[in-house]
Amino acid sequence: MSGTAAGLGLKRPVGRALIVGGAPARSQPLAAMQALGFECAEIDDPYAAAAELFRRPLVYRALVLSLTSFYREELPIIATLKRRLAHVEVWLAQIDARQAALAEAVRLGADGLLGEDGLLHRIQGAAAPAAPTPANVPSPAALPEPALPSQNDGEPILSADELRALLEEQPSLPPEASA
Amino acid sequence: MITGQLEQVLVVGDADRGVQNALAQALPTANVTAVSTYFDAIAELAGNRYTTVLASAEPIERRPEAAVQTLRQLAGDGRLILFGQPSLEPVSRKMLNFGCDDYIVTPATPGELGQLFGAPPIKLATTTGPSIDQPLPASAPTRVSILSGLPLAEIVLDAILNNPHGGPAAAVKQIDARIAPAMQLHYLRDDAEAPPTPEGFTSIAHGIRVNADTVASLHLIVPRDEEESAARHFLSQLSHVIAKVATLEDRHVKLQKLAITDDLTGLYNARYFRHFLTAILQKAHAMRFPVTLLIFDIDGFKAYNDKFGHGVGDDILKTTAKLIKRCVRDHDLVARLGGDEFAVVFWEKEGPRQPRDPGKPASAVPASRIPQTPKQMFHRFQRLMQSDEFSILGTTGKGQLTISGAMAVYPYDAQSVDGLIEAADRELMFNAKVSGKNCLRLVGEDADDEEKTAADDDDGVDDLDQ
Repeated sequence: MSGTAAGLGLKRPVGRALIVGGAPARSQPLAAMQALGFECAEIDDPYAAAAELFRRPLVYRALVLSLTSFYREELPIIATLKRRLAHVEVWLAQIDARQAALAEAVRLGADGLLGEDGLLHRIQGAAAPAAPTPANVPSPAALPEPALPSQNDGEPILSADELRALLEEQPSLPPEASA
Repeated sequence: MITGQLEQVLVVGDADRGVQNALAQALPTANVTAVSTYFDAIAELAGNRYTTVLASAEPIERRPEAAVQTLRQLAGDGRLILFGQPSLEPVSRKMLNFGCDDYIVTPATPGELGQLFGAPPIKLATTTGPSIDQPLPASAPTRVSILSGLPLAEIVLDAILNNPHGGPAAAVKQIDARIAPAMQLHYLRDDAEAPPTPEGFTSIAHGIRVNADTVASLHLIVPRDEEESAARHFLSQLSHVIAKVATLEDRHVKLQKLAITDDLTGLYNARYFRHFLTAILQKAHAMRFPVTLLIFDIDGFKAYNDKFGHGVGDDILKTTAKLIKRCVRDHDLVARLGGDEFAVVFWEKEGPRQPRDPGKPASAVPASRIPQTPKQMFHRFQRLMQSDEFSILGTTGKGQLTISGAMAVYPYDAQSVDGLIEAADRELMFNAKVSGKNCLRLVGEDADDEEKTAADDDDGVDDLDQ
C-alpha cells in the first residue's frame, strides 16, 4: 500500500485563485485555472478583489486579471499586490488587442500570462513568489498558508523575444487605412 | 465637534499634495497617511482604522461606483470624502448615492477642509483685511450648507461654455445637473406653471429681466432644513448671471435674424437662400424628393423706379413680397435675391418622383414630371399681382404690374445649387423675358408646352382660390 494521497485517488488543490473580470470574460480563465488544479473564486471589479485579498491575505495564491475588463488606471492593483502581498502571483488573461495594457501590467510586476492553451506562461525575469512574512502581510488570517510549489514547476517560460513579439503584434488594418 | 487631535486621515491619490498641504494648515494635529492608489488605500483600510478618507475622484472616473462602495465598506463609520477638479464634480456628486459622505472641489482651501472637519475657520495671519475664509455665523449649523460650497461662477461659466448657443434655459439645465441632488433648479419662461414642491422642501423664485421686461423666472427647490437666506442669496446671484445670459441670447437671436433677413421686404436674403438651398438639396438627395426653384422678377420694374422714384419702387417690392408669401406654403422658402429678383424654393416631400431615363438629356424630361403645385401657386401669384390695387401707382395701378418667372427642378434639371440657380436664371433671362414677359417658363419645356400647361393649371388655380 502506497499510503500517498495520489494512491487513494485524492487530488490536493494547487492553491486558490481569484479571477477578476466581467462575467463573460471570466469563463475561459476560470476553466483554465480549474484545469490546472486551482480552487477558484470570481469577482467583478478590481476594487472588490483588492478588498478580498487584503481581508484574507493568506487564502489566495494567484490572482488572474482579465485585461479586457480592466481600465488602464486600475492596473496599479498589480504593483500594490506585488509590494504588499508578494506571495500572490498575478496572471494576465484575455490579452487580445490590449497590447498597451499588457505592457503596462508587465511593467507593474505581473508574473505572466494565462494563455489560450490553458497554461501559465511565466515572463522571464518576473520576481519569484515570496513566502508571506509578517512584514508583507498586514494581518494574520485564520486559514493556514497554502503549500507553495517550487518556482516554475511545469510552467512554460515566455522568453524576452517572445514577449517582445507579442507586444509588437498589431491588429491588421484595412487597406485604405494603411494606405 | 471632531477635533484635529482625534483625526486619523487617509489621503488617496493626492499627487500634487494640494490636499495634504491644505489639511496640514486646517488640522495641524491630524495624523495623516497618504497613499498613491486606491488599492493601497484598500490595503491600509483592511488593517487600520481611519476616521476620514479623503480620496481623489480622478483615478476612478470610469468605474466610480465599485471603488467608492469598496472604500465605504472598509472605512466603517469613518467619513469618506472625494476631492477633484471641477470637471469631476458630477462624478463626485453622483457618488453621494454610493456611500460617499461629501466631496470638495480642488484646489481645496484650508478653510473648506476645516469646515468639513468641523474645525473653526482659519484666519490667515498675513492678511490685514477680512479673512479669506469667512467664519460661519454663530447660528449656522455645524453641517456645511450644500449651497455655501458651490463654486457658482465656475459652474455657470462651465454651463455656458459647454453649450454657448443653448441660451439661458440650457445653461440652467446644466447648472441643475451640477448642483446637489437634493436641490432642483428650473428656468420657466413667461407664465409657465411652476413645478410642484415636494413635501419637506421649499420653493424660492426669482425673476429674470431682459431689457426691463421680466421674461422668465428661476425656481429653486431646496430641502426645508436648508438655510433660506443662503438659498435666496444663491438664487439672487444666479438670477443676475442668468439674466445676462438671457440678454445675450436675445441679442444673438436678433443679430441672427438680421443676418439672414432682407431689410426692405422682411423676406430671407440671398445668403440664407443659398444656405437653405444647399441644405435642402442634401436632404432631397438623401430622401429622394424633388425640389423646385422658382426665380421671378417684376416686368419693367426699372421703369417704375425711374418714373415714380425709389420710394414707390420699394413699396412695390414690399407688396410683391407680401403677395408671394400669401401664395406659398409655410415650409416653402421665399427670398429676395436683390433688386426686383425673388426666389422661392418649393420642396415636395411627397411629390411624384419618376426615375429619369439616363439615355435622355435633361431637356427631354416631360413637363408632366414636374410637380404641378408650384406652377399653380405661381399662377395664383400672377393673378394676385394683377388684381392688387397697387394704389401707390395711382388710380391706374391695378393690372399694370406683371411678373415673369422660371422654374428648375432638382434632380431633373440640375443636381447642384449653382446648377439649379443658373438653369432657372437662364430660362428667365433668355426665354421668359424674350417671349413676351408675364409668363412662367419651365426649364426644358417648349413654348407650346408652357401655354398648354398654363391652360391646364387654370382649374388648379381656381381650386386654390376657393
